[in-house]
Amino acid sequence: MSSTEIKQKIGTLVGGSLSAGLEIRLDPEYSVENLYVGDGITIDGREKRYFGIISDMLLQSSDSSLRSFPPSSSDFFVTSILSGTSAFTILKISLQLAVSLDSNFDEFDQLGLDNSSFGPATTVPPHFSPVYRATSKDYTEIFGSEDEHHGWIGTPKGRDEEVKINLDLEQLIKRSNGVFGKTGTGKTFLTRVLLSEIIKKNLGVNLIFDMHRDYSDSVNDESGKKIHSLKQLFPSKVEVMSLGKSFNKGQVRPDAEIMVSYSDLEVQDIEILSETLNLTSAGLLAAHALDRSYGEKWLGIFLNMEPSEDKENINSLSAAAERTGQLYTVLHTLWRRLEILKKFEFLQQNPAEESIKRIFTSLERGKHVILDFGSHQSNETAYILVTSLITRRIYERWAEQDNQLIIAIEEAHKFLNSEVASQTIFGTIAREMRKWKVTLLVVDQRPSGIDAEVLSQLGTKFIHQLEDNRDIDSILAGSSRDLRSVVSTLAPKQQALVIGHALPMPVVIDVRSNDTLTNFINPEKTATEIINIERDNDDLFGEKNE
Amino acid sequence: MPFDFELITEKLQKAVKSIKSDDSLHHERVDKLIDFYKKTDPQTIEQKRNEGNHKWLAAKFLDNNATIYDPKQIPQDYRVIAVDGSHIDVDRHSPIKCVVLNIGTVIFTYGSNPSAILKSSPLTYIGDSELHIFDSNSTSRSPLQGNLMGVKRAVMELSFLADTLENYADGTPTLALIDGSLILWSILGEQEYVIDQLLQGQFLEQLDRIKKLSDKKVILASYLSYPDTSDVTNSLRICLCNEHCSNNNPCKEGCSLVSGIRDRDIFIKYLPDNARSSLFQSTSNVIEKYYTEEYGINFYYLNIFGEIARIELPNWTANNPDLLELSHSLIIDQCNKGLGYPVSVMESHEQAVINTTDRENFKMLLDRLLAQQGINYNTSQKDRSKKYRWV
Amino acid sequence: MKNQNPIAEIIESSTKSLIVQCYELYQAPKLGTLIKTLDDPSIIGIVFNVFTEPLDPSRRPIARGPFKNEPEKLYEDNPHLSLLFRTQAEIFILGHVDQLKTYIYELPLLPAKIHTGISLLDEEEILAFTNTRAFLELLIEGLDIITEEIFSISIRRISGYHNDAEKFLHDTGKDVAGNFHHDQQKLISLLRKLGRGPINE
Repeated sequence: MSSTEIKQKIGTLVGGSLSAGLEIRLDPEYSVENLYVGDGITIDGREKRYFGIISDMLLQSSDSSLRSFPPSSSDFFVTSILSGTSAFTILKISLQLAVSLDSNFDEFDQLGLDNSSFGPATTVPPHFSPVYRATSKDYTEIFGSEDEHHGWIGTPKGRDEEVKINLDLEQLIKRSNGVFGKTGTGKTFLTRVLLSEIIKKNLGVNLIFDMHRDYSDSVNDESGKKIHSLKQLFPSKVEVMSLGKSFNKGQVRPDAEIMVSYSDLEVQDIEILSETLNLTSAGLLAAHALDRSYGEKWLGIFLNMEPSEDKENINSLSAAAERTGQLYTVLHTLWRRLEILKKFEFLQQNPAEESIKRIFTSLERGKHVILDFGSHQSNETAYILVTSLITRRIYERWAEQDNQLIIAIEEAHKFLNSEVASQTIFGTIAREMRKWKVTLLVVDQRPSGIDAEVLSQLGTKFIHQLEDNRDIDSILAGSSRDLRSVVSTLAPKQQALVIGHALPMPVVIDVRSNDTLTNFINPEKTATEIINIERDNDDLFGEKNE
Repeated sequence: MPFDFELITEKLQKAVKSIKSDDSLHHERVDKLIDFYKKTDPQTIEQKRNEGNHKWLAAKFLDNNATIYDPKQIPQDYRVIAVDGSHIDVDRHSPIKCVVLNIGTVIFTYGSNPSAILKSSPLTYIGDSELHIFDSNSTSRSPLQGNLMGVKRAVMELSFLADTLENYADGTPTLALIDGSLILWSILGEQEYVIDQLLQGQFLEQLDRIKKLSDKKVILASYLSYPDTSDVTNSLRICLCNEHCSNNNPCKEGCSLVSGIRDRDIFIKYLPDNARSSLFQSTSNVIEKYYTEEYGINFYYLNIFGEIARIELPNWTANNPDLLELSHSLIIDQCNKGLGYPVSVMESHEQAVINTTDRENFKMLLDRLLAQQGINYNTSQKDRSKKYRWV
Repeated sequence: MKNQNPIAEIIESSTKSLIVQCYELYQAPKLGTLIKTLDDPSIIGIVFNVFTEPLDPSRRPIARGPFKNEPEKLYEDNPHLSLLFRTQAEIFILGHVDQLKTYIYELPLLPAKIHTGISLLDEEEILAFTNTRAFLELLIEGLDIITEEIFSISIRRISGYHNDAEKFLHDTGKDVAGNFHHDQQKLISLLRKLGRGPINE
């Protein structure tokens, strides 16, 4: 952080409103090409100092005849004079924070105020207040420094590497949060940073449903550099469990294998799968009827029935139809669609209560659990089914726990769309965040597919580049509508707009590079060595859980 | 009151009509007179003139008749000095009697070192002593106003001309031009002592100064445009007229023929552009009586831009063929530069003229000076009534 | 005291402008040049009009041609002509020198005296006078009087004395732009004139 960084005036406040954005007239000497939407700015009012971000840029001219008869672009002398004077740029600013100035203005910069003296901007600066580009110092004052509750997640877009944006992790995990963006924009990248910070600072315990083996194993980034898995980074704190016996050569041996029994599944779980498995509403009703009729083990029994119309056969579908009062054809369709479940080797008839207990025990002891879906990676049905089931079980049991549990799920719109949000466990968790110390960390590329109410309950949103207008609208619904341009001008990779409770004001960040996620221990050491070192560290500095 | 034009117009119309009808007859008579002039030799005319007891002013014919002289090439370097004057007359009603005479002088040098000087020199005559000509032998005195002021002015013009010529005459051909005539006509009728002082004393003294410069190639001349003179036609008339004619019964061959024809009518008809006529000598009473033979005045006519001008020269210039020749060609050159009129005469006139504003300023100056001394003068009633024109 | 040789004399004087008669016929300070009056306090102005007229307004020149030779010969052949005309220049006032010998970019409180001489500012004086943006104030205000053409010629002349002529022209363009909000096309044509670059003769 250069203390010699001078405050650079870029313009003057000339109009606008708190709700629609302040309007700044850019100074003639300052080139608009040096700024970008999302950049931070400060405004010096008479009694307060204000912070905001550029939300839009407009080109205007003092006389409309310039639009009809502009000077020739080859006439450089004329155009260079007109631009900035008669033809000028207006910046729209989304005002975020304000802080009262001390009576002695000069001492303000030396007071080194921390971010607790900032409050949301409820008023506007007076006309013609000078406007400056936010300095590194400004950012540091607002976003604080890294400590046991604050984690470094990236640098402000376009600033030098020294300015760190630090997230209030405590605030973060108190609520459910979301990481959004088109495919390939770096959601996993950022999620890995969040998770590792939570793990490193022992602020809570994570249950990660790793659909694509992003977190449980190391990956290579685009340049071929190896990015370590969470397990490799924090070997003693993280447990990797695989679903079923999916064990491939060359992989690290999982800490446990998870099996699920049919009787663990409830109708709720089937309902979530209705779209994936193409179940009809009649089919769902039938499922409910089966549940009522056969009890807890209904699914196992149902799947073992014969598709025969022979009513005399108690194991036939027609017998079941009669018993439950459903149509045979409906049951038959349902039966055929659900047959796919028989293929899952992790799904068994016999109760495998231990698996869920195993997970619970680890979490209870403060170990972070990553559920690796292994060979079922791309199987949507498996993912939805297992995630839904396990989440429900764990949630039911988490009531007496003190520790914060963060459940990370991908393809969140499958679990939280309007149709199912009210019925599933995820909807419940999202809505009742404070009740039982369980929150979600949702990762998704289609926020328009998520129930609006759920979106509004998210504490902090990490928004990567989105293209679909519906996605942008739904994610910015509410008070952030003026940040549309910020979202649409994000870089295609590893750049995100972060808004929400974990930050004092929205900011566009270049996400922290994943190869900085070290435990300050040489990752080339063996896992055993690392475990030993970690244990020593814990002994020295005191461990949080256990 | 405004003019009653109706009463005048009728008579004017008649007169204009008669001019037109007279015109063609006029041309015929002029042609006849020219014929006569061309075929009669000067001695015959001279003889008749001397014999006759006519009272007309008739010129002496010096040259071969009707000779036409074309101008020769002008020298590369020459100089012109022209002088003109104008005056503010005495204000009868003012307690301070004064006259302002403004003399304009121009000196133009042409050729290898062209230059020009324009200047005006005011002269004031204040008080009785300066504003009268006094008879030394009696108590008679004549006030310098009206006609006499004009004479005094002519004298001062010639004096300034002489001064300037003395300063500038260096052998470069120098034309000294005066507007009008070298003959002091207006002195006739004045008292003897006036004529004596102004003409024979002052005027001729200046002429003499100029005469002394003639070896320095100084050419004195006067320029009169569109002259009304008839001394040449009068001489022809003498030849043609029989002695028994009278105004009631003019002779056909002489007086009727010549009547109304002026010198310019003859010469315009046969002088080509830029050419001059033969030389004549003026036999005016003023000259015969007062100038004496030493200061005789000769003249010729010149066709300039389709108009006749009369050029008068003192005899010492006219008798010198070089100087006579130079007078002709240099005057032509001056008229070319002045688009029909000698530019030097024009400019000297501009230098001399006292315009209305200046006249008023002068009057205001006088008033202020008088007021400063506490002298408050009232104009006469007549003057006031003219000035204010009240209802 | 440098450059005290007067080249013309004041014949009409007001607090806004001056009319001077040049000592030599046809030898007037060029359009757009800076002049100063040779009295105390010295007044600084810019030449915005040069004209020749007859000394006597009632004597109007008439055509003398067409000429067979060069027209300059006319003045040689008629040497009195040079005495009948006078060349005059109109000066627009931009400021004056106060008692402390500093330039004040405001109109003087009293007009200069008739018959005071004027001379050109030398290079040092020009740089000192135009070293601040303030000198433009009265110049821009007087655009209607001096016209945009003279404005741009004078700025272009002055720019030639500054180290970075292009920057001077550019900065002046920026200052002017602020005064033309209602008429951009006029502004553009004025800026194009400025853009022609410094005048060095």
